[in-house]
Amino acid sequence: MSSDRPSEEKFLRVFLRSEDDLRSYCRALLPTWEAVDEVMQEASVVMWRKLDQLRDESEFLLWAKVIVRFESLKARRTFARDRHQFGDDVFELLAADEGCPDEDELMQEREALKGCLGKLNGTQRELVLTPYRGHGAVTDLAEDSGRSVNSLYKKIGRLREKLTQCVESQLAGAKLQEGLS
Amino acid sequence: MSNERLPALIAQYQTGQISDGDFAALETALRESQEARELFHRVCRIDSQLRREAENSDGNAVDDAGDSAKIISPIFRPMAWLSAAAAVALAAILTWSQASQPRVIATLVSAENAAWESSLPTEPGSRLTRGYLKLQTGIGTIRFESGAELVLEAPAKLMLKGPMRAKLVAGAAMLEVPESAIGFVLETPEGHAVDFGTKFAVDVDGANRQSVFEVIEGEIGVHHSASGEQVRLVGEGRSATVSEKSLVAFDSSEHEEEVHRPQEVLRIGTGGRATSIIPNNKREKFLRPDVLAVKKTNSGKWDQRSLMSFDVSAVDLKAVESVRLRLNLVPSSAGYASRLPKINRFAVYGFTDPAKTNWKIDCRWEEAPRPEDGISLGSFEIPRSQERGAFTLQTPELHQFLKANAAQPITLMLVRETAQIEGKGPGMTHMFAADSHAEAVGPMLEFLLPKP
Repeated sequence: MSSDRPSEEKFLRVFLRSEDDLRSYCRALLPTWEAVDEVMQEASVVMWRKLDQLRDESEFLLWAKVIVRFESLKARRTFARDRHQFGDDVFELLAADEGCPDEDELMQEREALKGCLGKLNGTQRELVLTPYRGHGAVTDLAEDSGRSVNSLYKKIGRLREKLTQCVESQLAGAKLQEGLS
Repeated sequence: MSNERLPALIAQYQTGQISDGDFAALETALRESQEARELFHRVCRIDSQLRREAENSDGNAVDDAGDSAKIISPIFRPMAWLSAAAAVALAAILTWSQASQPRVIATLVSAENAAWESSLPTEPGSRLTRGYLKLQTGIGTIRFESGAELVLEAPAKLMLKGPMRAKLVAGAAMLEVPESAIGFVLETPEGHAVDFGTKFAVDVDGANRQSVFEVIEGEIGVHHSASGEQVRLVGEGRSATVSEKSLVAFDSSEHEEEVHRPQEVLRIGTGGRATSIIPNNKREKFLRPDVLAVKKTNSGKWDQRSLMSFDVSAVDLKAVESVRLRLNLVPSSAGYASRLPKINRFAVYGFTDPAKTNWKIDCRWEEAPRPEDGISLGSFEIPRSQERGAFTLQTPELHQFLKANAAQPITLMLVRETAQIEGKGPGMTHMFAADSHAEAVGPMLEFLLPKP
């Protein structure tokens, strides 16, 4: 399969560079991480297959977002109706992703979050990360710590809210400084 | 809807906790305002980065289900349709570049008549990630990546939390900690022990809700969760019982009978007197109290240095054979390692002039001593790829410096000598544990005394 190698390398190079951006984009379109993972799997296979259609590597992210949007749309049809899912109009508005920040701004945003995470103490930081540690991680933590699942989620929600506000204010501060200098 | 509620609503939506009414409010806001949509996208990026953070970290601070094996990168499975060779190459590169597979933190070394009930593999030689091990019968030995070795006796339940941390939920265990793993923390439901080298045993008595820590050899610190109280147990036979309400230390040792003793090490910490400094003096924004940060930039504008104070007046330095400074590197929360040279060099300077050593914890950059005013005590190196580990500086200069200045408080300054690669984006700040760090012990001077 030596003829596959150039496209394989090319795919990896461009895909890995954009994977985080694509995951975040996909997250905005779907209600859960499970759904995001499934769609990202499907979408990455499609990207691999259709890579020949991509003329310029610099257009990969835009091209890949179209594929992610389409696969997300397909996935939406399979979701149960009782789940909280945005209407088609809101889905399209979010998929349009207007005002998407440029690479510099994204970098600042990532740094701001790192700084904000650093301000949490160890227990808070770990609590915020717990929902990502697999099914039932929050429930297990509740059991171990003798608190209710509900109260833990409330706490996690408040910490996430705090992180968002912290990132916002850091970025606003950075903008202000740029304006002054 | 006012935008102030948006972050809260998005947080509830993303964790699956939103009520029907709030969901409708969120949907309306997103429909009507581009500003709201931009914030929503931002929070999705934050969500994504937090998830990445969770995949890459050990999660040492508290318990969890430990089934992080379920968060294997989603890309692995769809590649099944590829040719086998291509898929292997792809998987290998992805594993390498993403590092999103659960980190191996220990190896199951041996099992003697052991029956396990576990989400982790239980064959001897198995590589273990975060998670619970339940041992029904027999004895199992686990070696952590840090070098610490734990012998578990059934019936027991152990949670592997990281290369330097585990929690014994039930049962008995013996822990042996080599120098590389000094600072290993073993938690129990009632408290935790920090191992300062060598060997101790612990027994978690679920029925009486207490745990007993006993030193076999060496030294441990035992902490009581409820009160925050702690004791240091030094030498064979010292033990402490920690229950929900109390921490009680015993000494059942017969020191006269001891025939063999290991070389004695005397350790002195900073007692909280350690801090970092930054030229713009914005501590709140850029410095964390639980780490000692060091960084060097070509402009000097974003440099960070760390100061540590030690009182060695109680040490008989004439009797000391050698001395070393021990620092525990912890994962950095700022900057990119790829923006650093492959090898980073750190230097330590010593100060004794009272004008230089009476700095305050919240000291400003310009008030702090400068390397050029101090005595150079040596340097050590850390590869940029290394995230954690213990580093020691043991030089004749350090020994000489302490000997000459034992009577007065001394200050050591840690700086990074190698700068970051300039350009867009910040280089990584190296961080070493301060005394208040949750996982690792703070800086220590270790004095090796001759065998008695």
